[in-house]
Order: sequence, then structure tokens, then C-alpha cells
Amino acid sequence: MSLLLCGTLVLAYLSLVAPQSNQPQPGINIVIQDVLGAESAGAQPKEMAKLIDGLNSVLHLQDQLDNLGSQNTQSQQELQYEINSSLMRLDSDANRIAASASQRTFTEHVTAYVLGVVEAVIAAIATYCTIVVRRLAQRKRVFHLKIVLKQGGQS
Amino acid sequence: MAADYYPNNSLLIVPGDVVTWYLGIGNQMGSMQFVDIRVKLGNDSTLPPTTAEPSPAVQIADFKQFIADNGTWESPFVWKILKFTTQQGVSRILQLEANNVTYVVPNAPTCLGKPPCHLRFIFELWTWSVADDGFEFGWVDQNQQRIAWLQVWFNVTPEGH
Repeated sequence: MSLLLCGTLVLAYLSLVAPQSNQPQPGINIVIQDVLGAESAGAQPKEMAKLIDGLNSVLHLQDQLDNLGSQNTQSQQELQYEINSSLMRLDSDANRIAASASQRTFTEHVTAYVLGVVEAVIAAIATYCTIVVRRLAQRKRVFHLKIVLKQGGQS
Repeated sequence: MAADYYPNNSLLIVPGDVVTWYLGIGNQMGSMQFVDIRVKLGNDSTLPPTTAEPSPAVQIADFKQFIADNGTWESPFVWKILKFTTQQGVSRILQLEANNVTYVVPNAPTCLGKPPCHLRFIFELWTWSVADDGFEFGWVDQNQQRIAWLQVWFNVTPEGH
């Protein structure tokens, strides 16, 4: 039963941390999906705050791009490159955070399971020891009740 | 009171008057949200938003932001009317500035008769839908469409007040 449970946990962990396939530059929707994936995998608030700050920075870059004149081609290209790079970096960070969050969650689950088993064993040992001690105490009382007979009618 | 939102505590706005508001959103959706506040300009007859569809009022500007779960976002909305015209008994705003960006309003809502012109800003909350790969008006909660919007009325006159 324990082996079956361990096997199930390992399979679940492997499915969660399966490596992402190589993709072309992600669009905003893909990045949003991956950031939400990191959040649901258990990303910590600091990690999410960093991802969200990055996404808002991309919005700011997009605003700059939208406000550029149509003749400013070089600046447009530079801004677009920066936007694309930022999205790729954010997507990579989100996937990395999702993987580590999943591993963290898996480790926490295994730790909780192992601790539970250890606690159960300790409780069992403690119970056994208690029973043994009680039995020993009972024997002592019985032992003290033993009557010794002496020879020659003397007491 | 509505007058508290305007300079000199008056709903009567003259071109050039600077009005400062703050738009605030709180995210209690249980996950990060990508929101878009769309600012529209309407008059007395403009249809307001409904759960079925957003207002058909002309959009002036929009503000996008990613907000963390349990997070809030507050953004200033500082605006003033740059050009206001009254021709042949019809008044309209031609140009306004919001957050230092100039917006030309080609299909601006009109007012008939003499000024002041009774207008309103409509603020609609749109949210990103991953499934649709785009923004949707409001959001879906337990298979029901929910919306959030606000409006603020004001009167415009070309004369001093």
C-alpha cells in the first residue's frame, strides 16, 4: 500500500515538472498562461510579484511603442526587440518557478507523509513501552506475594 | 457629492480646467488578473453598459494593468478639455487631454441647444480571457457574466463660471 502511494506521488511529480517543449517566441497570452500556471503550482508571493512587475514593464514598453511616430523605425525595432526579449524571459521565469514550486509542493507532501509515518511508529513504540512497563510492574507485585516455606517447623 | 470631484466644487467645466481623479481596482478573483479600464464619453442618450454588452459610447482612452491576487491598483486620471465647439446649436468636445496624452474625439457625443453640455465619462472594467486570447467585458463567475462600471457626469460650457 505504501509502495503504491509512493509510486503515485512520484508519477504525479514527474507530470508536473515535465520539461517544456522548445517554442518560438511566446505571445502575451502564452506568457499569461504560464504565469498563471506558476501561480497555481504554488509560486510564492515574492515570485509572483516579480513576474507581475515584469509583465507591467512590458505594458509600459508597449505604450512607448504605440506612442512612437511612424517614421521612427529604428526606435520601433529596438522597442519591439526589448518587448520580445522581456516576454521570452518572463515565460522562462514563469516555467522555472512553476517547476520549483511543484517540486517544493511535492517535497512538502512527501515530508508530511514521512513525518506522519515516523510519528505513527513513535506512537506505536511508546504504546508498546507503556504496555511493557505496566506488565513489569504487575509482575513485581505478583513476585512479592510469593510465600517461602522453611524446614523444621521454624518460622 | 458629485461636485466634490471637480475643481471649485462645481460640475460646470470650462475648457482648460484640470480635473484630477484616481481610478482604483481591487483584485479578489483568486489569481493574477490582466485588466483594461476603458474610458468612454457619453451624453444623456448614450446607452450604459449591460451584462449583455458594453456601452456603445466612443472610447477616449484605456489603461491596462496586471494585478496580483489580493492586490490593488490605483491610477490617476487627470483630464481637461482642450477644444469645445458649438455650431448651429450643436455642442461637442473635439479634443481633450488625459494623463498628458491628447485625444481627438471624432465621433464625440453631442448636446443640442445652448451650453452647458451635459456629458459623462463611463469607465468600464474589461478582463483578459486566456481562452479567447483577448479582453472581454467584465468577467465570468460561476457561469454568469459579471460586469463593473462607473460613470461621472459633468457640464461643459465655453463661458467662464
